[in-house]
Amino acid sequence: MTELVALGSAGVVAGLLARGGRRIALPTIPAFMAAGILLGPSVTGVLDDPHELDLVADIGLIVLLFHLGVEFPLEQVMESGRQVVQSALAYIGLNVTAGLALGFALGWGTAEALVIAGAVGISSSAIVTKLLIELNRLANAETPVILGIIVVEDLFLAFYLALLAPFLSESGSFGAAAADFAISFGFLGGLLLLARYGARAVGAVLDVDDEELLTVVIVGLAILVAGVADELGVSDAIGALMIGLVISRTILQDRVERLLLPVRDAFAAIFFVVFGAGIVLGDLGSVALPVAAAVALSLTMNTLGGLVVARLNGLNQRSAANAALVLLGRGEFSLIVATLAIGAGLDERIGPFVALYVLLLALVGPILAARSRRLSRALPGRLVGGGFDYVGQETMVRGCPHVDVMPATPISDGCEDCRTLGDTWTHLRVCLQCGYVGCCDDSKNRHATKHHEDVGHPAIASLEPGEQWRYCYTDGVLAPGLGETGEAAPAPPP
Amino acid sequence: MGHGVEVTELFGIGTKYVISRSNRQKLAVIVRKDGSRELYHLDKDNPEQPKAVIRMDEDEARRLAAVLGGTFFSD
Repeated sequence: MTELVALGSAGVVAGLLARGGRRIALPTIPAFMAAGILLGPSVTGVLDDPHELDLVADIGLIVLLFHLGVEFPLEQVMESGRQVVQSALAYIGLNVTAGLALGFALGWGTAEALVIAGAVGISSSAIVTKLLIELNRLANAETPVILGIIVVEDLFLAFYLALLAPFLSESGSFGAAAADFAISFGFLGGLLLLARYGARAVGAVLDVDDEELLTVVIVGLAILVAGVADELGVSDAIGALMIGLVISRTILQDRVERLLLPVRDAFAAIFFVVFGAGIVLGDLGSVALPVAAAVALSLTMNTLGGLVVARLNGLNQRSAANAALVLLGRGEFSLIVATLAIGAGLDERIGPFVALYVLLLALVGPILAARSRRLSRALPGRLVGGGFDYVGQETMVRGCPHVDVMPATPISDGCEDCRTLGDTWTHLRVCLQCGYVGCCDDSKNRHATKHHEDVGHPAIASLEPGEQWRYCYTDGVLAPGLGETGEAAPAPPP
Repeated sequence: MGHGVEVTELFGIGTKYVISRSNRQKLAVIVRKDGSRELYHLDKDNPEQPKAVIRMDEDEARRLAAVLGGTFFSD
């Protein structure tokens, strides 16, 4: 096959396959990769030599990371407060550490372990964002935190790639490795400084009042900086990401982001197809066990991560489960890291390992994320720190004028209305205004809510031992209880 | 709380505006970076999903806004 036929079929097949994949909610990135596997030498052989397309795939990688840098909301993340950054670091820390442990446990080598840590540790911004939109979760309480986490993950990727560079260059001596390290981080630091102090000047130099010429110059610049980074032994991926970050702080940001979007979409798809074409279908079986371990590990670490994130941000276990399962998406970053590993000639099981891992999570991730309610039911409320049990969909813990009152003392030790009827109840609630004790909404009679509807008293607290929360019907606000030390804490039932 | 509009930044997506209504319902408007809008109708009695989600492009949103804001006149 000629290169042009191969390239063209890569685009057409990838696009059509991804369209079909949408019906089963398969994200586009794994669909492109699957198209690559199908076109590759081990199945149909249309792409019999994927290396023919290496240059185009490289451009795909560069524009993908460049665009990521351009849309990077550095300022907003810094302004958004400590919790978002802490949540992100906790999530990344848990997943990357676990990935590193798995990498060493597999025993494929140190560089391989580092590569696996990155591939299983970093979520896919593209897949996570798309999933949030498709699941109609943009208005959820946990969504701003999730988006903050994936943004910090983007930045973490730059540092991680700089850290990885010396391990991939196979420098002979310790001195050479140290020099590689210095060059990597020097390059990263230099571009960060340029982003911080020189962005205005860069913008002034590049500003062309013509969309055609701006596109030409910007694509050239992205490839040039990536190429220089590559020459220096830093990966081209970092160069592209960092120069994108510089552009994001210039007046050109909006225009570049819009102009390069179609360029990115067309070329990034080729990158994913070429990655897939390098995977031999038969090799996937031999890495099935490590991949199963990695998927199980990611599920565990994401659940833990979701709990930590909820705890840091005062969210309930429903949000914890949502965050845990949405952030499970793996895609472009895992494939980028794997591409670098393959390019550096590391253990050849890395390619199939990452391919199967991404594909499996792409299939199960959206299914699990859509059913996160089941996971939330299994998470004990005390793990998220609020001491409240799962209550409706209310996720944000705040006060409101109705719950911030001196609570009345409970007038009884059980639901008197149920006793009159001869019924039983599940949990007990107390009216903060008059001390009326009624049964909860999971009970047959729902007397607490009925009390609110009948007399209009706005807020209740839980009387269930171990639960510490207050709830306002009027404002729909779930707030933490006042705790054992607070004089106003609802007395535990006898 | 209160009767104002709560504004939250959604990184990489756009901006979220939440209007709390008196009847325990909320309206959330998400203005995405590409100009499209999503209108969420949230009700706390239906915990699993928003009651309705309406996606609009920028032009549709402006026409709807004109009608809602009472600035649309036809002759």
